[in-house]
Amino acid sequence: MQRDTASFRDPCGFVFHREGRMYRQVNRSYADHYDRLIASGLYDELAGLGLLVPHSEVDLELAADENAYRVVAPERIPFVSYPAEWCFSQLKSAALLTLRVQRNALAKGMILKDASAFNVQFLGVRPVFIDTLSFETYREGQPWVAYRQFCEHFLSPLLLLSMVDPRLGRLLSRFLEGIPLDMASRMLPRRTWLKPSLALHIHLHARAIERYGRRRLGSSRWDKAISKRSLEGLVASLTGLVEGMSWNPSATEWASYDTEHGYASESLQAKDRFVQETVEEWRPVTVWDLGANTGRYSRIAATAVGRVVSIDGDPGAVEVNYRQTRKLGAENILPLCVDLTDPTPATGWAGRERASLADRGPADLVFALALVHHLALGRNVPLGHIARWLRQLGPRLVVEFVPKSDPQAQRLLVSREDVFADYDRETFERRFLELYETVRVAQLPDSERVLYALVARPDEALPEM
Amino acid sequence: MQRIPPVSAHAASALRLFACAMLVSLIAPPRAAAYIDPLSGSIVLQVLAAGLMAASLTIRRFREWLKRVARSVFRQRG
Repeated sequence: MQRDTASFRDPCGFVFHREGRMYRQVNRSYADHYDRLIASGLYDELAGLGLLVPHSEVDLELAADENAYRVVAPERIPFVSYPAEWCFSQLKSAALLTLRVQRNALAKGMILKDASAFNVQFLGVRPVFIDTLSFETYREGQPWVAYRQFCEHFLSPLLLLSMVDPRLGRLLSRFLEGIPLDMASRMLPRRTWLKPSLALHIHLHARAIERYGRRRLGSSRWDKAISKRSLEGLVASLTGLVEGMSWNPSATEWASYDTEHGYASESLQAKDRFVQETVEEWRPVTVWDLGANTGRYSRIAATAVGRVVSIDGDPGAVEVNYRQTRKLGAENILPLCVDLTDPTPATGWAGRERASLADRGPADLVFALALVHHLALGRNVPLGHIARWLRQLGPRLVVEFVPKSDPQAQRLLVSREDVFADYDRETFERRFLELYETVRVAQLPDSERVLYALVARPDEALPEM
Repeated sequence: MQRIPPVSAHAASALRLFACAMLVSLIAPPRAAAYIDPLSGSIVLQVLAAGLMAASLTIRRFREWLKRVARSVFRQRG
């Protein structure tokens, strides 16, 4: 038995792993709330609507310790992602899901006791609430103790992303408890004071916290401070505020890549065919499409593989990818925003609470299409380093070599000195073939670009970085 | 007529603090069972926000009621 490294804050229970399966222990202290969750029909309703991850109750003998009241086996989330890796619309969907769950809970006489963005995961493009222990019995008049947490985990970052800069989503990788309201209040434009809901939920909220902080103020009347109708009004106000938020990614550089790339149509078709044939031959369960841009090759791969994690560093490209994937209804593609020269590290308590990107692998197959030149020429990463890193992420690779003469590579060199004497096809092949064997190679027509389908050398151990 | 003695600045400040503490004590949680810290300031703001929401909802409903009444009156006259 091994306790999950991210599940230790809530004394009502925890997640643990036994013989490769994941379980959630419900402690006796949570028994009344758990029974109400089930008896009220709230669990069935939320699970039936696909809003809450379904679980099955299993034998109590599987419990991790003597405090167990129930043990449940939740449906497994294939790939765990974190709020810092989500684009604007993903964070917005997660916020709306949390508010919808809260509304349904209130209607059944329960309330969310926390509102962490980490309580939401994505099954493809669909957000799902994963914390079965987040519900407690509602007492008429009680305030929502997770109101501040909701504002810091969702409102602050959504406003900063949409009104200041979409790259600020990366702040969430350092602020695991959400963006503090005082910080968001200072960073947001002054005009946000003029919008009553923003003035209330962010600016005045931040000042109220600064003013009253952590005062311990005894009273027996606090739990009658807010009527249920007022609480529902508060949730409705937050819902309206989140629904009204928008961000248009058209201004960012790579979001328009699909329409501006430098391929002739014949080249593009040949590349599509190469990717399609490779995935159909290998039939991998998981593909990580690194540098996915707006997800063209993720969508091609998704027709033949179990699931695709579609990763790009540009928030605009990921936003477009998410919207397109949602429109197509592809359930097995998860777009994520990660700077591949600084991929998500392990974070949180003891550096083990949230796993690094690499620790969530390996993938069966990795795509690095039109990526290597960005890393090598744009960010000065040597070809050998790139090859070793890709090898650590998975045993199979589809990689594209883009020579310096290519217009897209030229764009990266136009304003700088070319210090990349080693960047050529020969060195590229030497570095990659130290670690992989070639299965298939194809030069794209009317182009000097080359595609490779590679498999890790069987006798080689994972390379040291 | 008996004059009220002037209140010193310190006493006024103490009175304000006391009044403030009394106000917050009516609405702030003394022993939140939740495992996360709601922060007293957030609860204070939430009470204010919820009050505003309830007031806005009441005003909206009153306005709708007025409209309905006005409509039925004009319909009868017409």
